[in-house]
Amino acid sequence: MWDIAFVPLNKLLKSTHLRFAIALTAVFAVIYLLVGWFAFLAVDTELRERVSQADLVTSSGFAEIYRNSGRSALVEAVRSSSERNAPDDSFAWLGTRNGERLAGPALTAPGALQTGDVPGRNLLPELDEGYHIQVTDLDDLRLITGVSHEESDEILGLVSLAFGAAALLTLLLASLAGLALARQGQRRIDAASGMLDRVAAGELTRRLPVSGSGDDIDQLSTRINSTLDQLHATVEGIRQVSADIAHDLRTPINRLGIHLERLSDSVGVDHAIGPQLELARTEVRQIITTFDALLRIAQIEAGARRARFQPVDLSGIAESLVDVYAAVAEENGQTLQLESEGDAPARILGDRDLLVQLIANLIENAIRHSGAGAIIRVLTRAEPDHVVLRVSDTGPGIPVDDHARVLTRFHRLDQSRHTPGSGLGLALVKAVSDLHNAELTLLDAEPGLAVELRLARLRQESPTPETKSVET
Amino acid sequence: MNVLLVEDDDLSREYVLAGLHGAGHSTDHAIDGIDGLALALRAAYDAIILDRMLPGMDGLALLKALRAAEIHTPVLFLTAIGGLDDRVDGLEAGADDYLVKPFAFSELAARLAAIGRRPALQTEQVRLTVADLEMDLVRRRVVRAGQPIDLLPKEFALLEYFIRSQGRVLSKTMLLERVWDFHFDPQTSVVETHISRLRGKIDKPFGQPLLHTIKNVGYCLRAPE
Repeated sequence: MWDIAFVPLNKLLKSTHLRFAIALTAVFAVIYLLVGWFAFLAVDTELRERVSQADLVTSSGFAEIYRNSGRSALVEAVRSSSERNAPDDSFAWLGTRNGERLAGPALTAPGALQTGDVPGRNLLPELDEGYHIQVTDLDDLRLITGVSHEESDEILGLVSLAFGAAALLTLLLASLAGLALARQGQRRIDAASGMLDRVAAGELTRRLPVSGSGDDIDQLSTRINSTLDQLHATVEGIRQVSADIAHDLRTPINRLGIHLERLSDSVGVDHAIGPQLELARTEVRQIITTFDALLRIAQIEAGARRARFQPVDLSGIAESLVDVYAAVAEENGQTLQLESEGDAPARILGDRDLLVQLIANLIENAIRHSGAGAIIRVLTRAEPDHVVLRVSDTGPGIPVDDHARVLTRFHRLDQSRHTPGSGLGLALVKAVSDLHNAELTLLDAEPGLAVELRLARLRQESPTPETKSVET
Repeated sequence: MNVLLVEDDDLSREYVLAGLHGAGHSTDHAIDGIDGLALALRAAYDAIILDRMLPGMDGLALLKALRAAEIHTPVLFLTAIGGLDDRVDGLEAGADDYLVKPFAFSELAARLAAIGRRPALQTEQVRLTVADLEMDLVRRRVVRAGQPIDLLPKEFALLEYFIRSQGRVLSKTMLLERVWDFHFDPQTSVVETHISRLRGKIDKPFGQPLLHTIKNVGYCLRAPE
């Protein structure tokens, strides 16, 4: 039960179960206190009533002695009573109506006393308890009897103590039970949300556990599971369709290529239709390239690649690609520069092959569209929680209104129709970016185009909690 | 080489078999996975060309069964176009190389030559030579005709791949995959640019070229005859 302390506090505080437990415990505490207060008052009243009754009985006893046996017998009875009892429990005082003492303790101001409760120090300086006194006038005599509330105060104290201890114990047990229940509920919710994360990561066959109790969490889990079944069926369907298309089309395309190659071989390069055959073969290669890109995008969008994600250093990929393309840019009369900011490594969780293709696509786009003399910059920036990749050029750029359209499949800007390419480059960039839950934005580099990709940075796995706390 | 081809499409099979015969290889073939596995288990081949999608038994399952039976004949895996995971699946199952369909025969021939002779490569060698070109793998130095040549790391890797495969044709995609780890078709002239730079360093100053372009196929590094 005590390992509740290991559940992070801020997370636990957000738990519906814990909030419920806290609220219930608080209501319970208020009810307990109210009931306790009324019980206390009732006991107090009853005890005070008993004390005043006892006082009245004592007083009546003395009065009877006076009526039966006369004045001197009363004086004697009060005196012997005073000798038997210490004044801090009870006392009896006898005097004249004008305050002259005949027997009993030397009260400070016997003339001013009236029947009822008085503080002890008003009677004798050394008494500190509360007293009930009974003042009875017998002819010219005045009899004052008093009983201390000490005993009833003690009883009340005991009652309060017992009540308080019980209340404390109850609250403690209620809180612990609440925490335990909250933790149990939180565990089920954590398990469910962890499972959903794995589904989102591409493990589409994962399902939430159903305990069989039929409670609300179970009902919710069952519904989520049936939604996941549908999702799985849909994704499988897409995958199957693309596999079918691939299978049904690749064979005829393959055959077309073979026929053309054979034809080309049999007529020879010098034949009149040789150049036309070569054009036809180029077209077939273009069909294959576009087809391949389309199928790739469809498969990337299906998300199954997430199951293969691994830690990847994005700045490392950028560096090696700049290394590869610097020469190509130079041949084009352009400059390709690498810049990096922040603490390396800029690690993320991803698919290395696809990220290489993504960055290569961005660099190739810049090389093909920015024209001679352009400067192309590839920047990686490692922020505390994100890794930013930015490829910018000083070319003609893309009008801001076209930015959204550029990322959709097949779209090519009219002015770039004359440059080669399938038009799927940026659509693939978008698909790979979405697969990585990255934020992809096109910006005006003034002049030129900047494409920025923002990915969640992978936390350094630290072996000890100390280094972790330093980092965060 | 004695090559087994497992392929269900008639035209593709004829095309590859004709090409293999033309190149002087002897062949066996099967048109479904079950026959293919039976042949592969019975006879010793120098290489197997295996289609990914086959009737009877899937190419991937055939490959796994073959490797499970401790048969380590080099396998060239033919994968479907757009099959993003096929490459990884094939290599994980024990394929030595893969080729995306449709392909030109020259590409297949180049890859077959590479995997068929792979065991003969002396990977522990420290010094590689072609004619008067020498490469010291430990000191990372290249010398031609006694003159030291300064190469960038990727140029060194490119040249090393050529020297190790000397006399054989390497296709553009083979270079992209092996040297740059690119598994896609670049839209710019990456390979041409780097080949041209490498030529500028190892061939141009010396008159006698070693690195040759094989039209529509790729490149080949070989000693002059």
